[in-house]
Amino acid sequence: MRLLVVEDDADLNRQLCAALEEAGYVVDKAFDGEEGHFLGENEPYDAVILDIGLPAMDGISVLENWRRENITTPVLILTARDRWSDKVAGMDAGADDYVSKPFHMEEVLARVRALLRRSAGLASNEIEVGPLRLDTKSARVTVDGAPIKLTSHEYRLLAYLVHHQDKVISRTELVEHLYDQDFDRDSNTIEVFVGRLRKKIPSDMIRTVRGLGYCLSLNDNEV
Amino acid sequence: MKFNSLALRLFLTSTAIALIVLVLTGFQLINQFRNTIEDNFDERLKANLSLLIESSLRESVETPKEPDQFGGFAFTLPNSGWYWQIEPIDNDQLPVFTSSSLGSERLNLITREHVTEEQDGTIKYYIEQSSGQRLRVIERLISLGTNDKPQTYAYMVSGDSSEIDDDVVDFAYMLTLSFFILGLGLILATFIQVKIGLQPLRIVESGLTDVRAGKTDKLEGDFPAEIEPLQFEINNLIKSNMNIIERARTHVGNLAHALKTPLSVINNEVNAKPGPFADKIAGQVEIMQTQISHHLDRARMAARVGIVGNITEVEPALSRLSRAIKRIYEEKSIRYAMDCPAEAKFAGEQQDFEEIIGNLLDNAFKWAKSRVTCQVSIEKPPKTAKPGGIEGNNSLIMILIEDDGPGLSESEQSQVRKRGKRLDETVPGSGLGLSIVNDLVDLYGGQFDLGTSAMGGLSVKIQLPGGT
Repeated sequence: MRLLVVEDDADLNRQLCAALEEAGYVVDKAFDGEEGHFLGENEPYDAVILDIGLPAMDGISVLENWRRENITTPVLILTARDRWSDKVAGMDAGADDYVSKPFHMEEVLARVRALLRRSAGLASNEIEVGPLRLDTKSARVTVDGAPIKLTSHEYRLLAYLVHHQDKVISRTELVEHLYDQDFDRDSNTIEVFVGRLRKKIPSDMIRTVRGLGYCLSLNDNEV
Repeated sequence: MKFNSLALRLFLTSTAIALIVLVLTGFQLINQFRNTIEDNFDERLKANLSLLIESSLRESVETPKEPDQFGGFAFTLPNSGWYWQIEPIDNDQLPVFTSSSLGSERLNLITREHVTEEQDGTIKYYIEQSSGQRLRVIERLISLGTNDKPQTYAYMVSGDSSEIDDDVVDFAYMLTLSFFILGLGLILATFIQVKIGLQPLRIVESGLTDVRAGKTDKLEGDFPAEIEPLQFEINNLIKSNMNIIERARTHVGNLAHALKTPLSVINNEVNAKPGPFADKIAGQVEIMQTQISHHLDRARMAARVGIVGNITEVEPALSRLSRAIKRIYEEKSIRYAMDCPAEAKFAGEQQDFEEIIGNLLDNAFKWAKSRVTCQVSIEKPPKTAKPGGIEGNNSLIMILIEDDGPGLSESEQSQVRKRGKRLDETVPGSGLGLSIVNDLVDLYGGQFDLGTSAMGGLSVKIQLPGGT
């Protein structure tokens, strides 16, 4: 899961990124509205955390521009203005949720999880695919109730596939969503990680669809 | 009436001036009248004097004889005041003739030094008889006799001066009465003049009262030329005052909001490294947050005073809010029913309306298991409502928000309305936000009731002033 944090306060930006990375997300950061807008326009993020009071271009305008360009990435707005009129203005501009400053980091994490879950059409923090069970809150994975150990890269890959189960995900898409913008896109590491994952979970769950990508599913007959 | 008052000043000065002018004119008129009456009286006396002289000298031009037939009835009536007397000057041998009305009395000669003689040789003066009668006397000295033995006679005719006095008193009485009525009229006219003249000031006063009460934001009306500059200056003052408040409010807002980001940073740092030091800082951050939101709310409230004539359409505002809140709580897939008449209007700011309803709906969605309802109705005002009050003659809007959540017990319901009380800290968000709802509803003179809904959860009923 790849996220974008747009926040002009350097300290808060760092804290948000650190907390999100620790929770298993890949995070890009932007420090002003224009930069944030550009990144959101050009990179396929799974969710955006957007501050309203930004230099160069305010958060509401950034959001409105994205929505006008049909970018439907879920957006969580951070706002110091906590009147309902401000919140409603943010939601009207196309935000999916808001968090008022000052906030507790857990709240932001919870909201982000909820947004990702919602966009994947899932109802709970715990996602089950057959024997596989993934808890997005604690970043734990079990197979038939037995916990398995995953590196953060492996977890991210699995979480992305689970959030998009039964869909074929291309290698490019995986690279875009699992690594930040500085990552070397030609690398073959995706295959390496898929290989490792197959050893830790029932190996037939991740199928290689030749020429297209990978698909995580239970039913072998599909796709 | 206060002593230092324009009306009193105008009233007193014009009354005083009228009084002085009237009194002076009165005296002048009475004096004039007296002179005229006196002149008339003197003419009558002079005519009698001429007759007296003529009839006393009919037989001899050297020695006057007692005139046998002279004057009318008055000169024979004792003590009538109408007397005559012919007295030889400085000669006791010759007889003094007097009118029979004088009886045994005599008219006393006066020393002539202080009396000016008229062209016809007469002098006039007042004397008082020993009986106390005041007389107007006209006297003429006539030299008679032969060349070797000249004799001067004083011819005197008198009338009762009370005739003059009576006329003058009558006149003065009549004059005083008319002047009194005239004076009253003038005072009344002054009073009306002051009333009408100062009426614009009264309008200014009531206009300013309205401004202070927040009914209007400027002094309106067509004022006379003298007051127009004042009106202009007052309006500018009000405007600049509002600008200052607005600026101060913006500064408070900016300051408060600017502090929130660093507070977030501190909060996060502290949470990352738990310990007694971190606990201490977290506590202080909490206090700062509470202070900021408290003062921010107060600044918003203070700014409300003076904002007038705002009407908010309820339905669009409510729909917008509902849409936003449904999006926020999308995951809970709550069944939400909203019922709002299209003509419902709220007599107040949209921001305040959104703040009240936003907090209430947010709570309802936060706690509801599966259902939230929001009903708006328009109520006619009670007939006893005072006109001009906040409730005025306007209608009321009633908003009922209900959920099927756990609800609140009665003691919780009373607690929850107090500022800073958080009944459940595990649900994210700063408290129930009900205290700000309470404050805002109070500000608009509305009502706020908590209860238990038919669905088992909390029921919140608020009444707000409606737009006409």
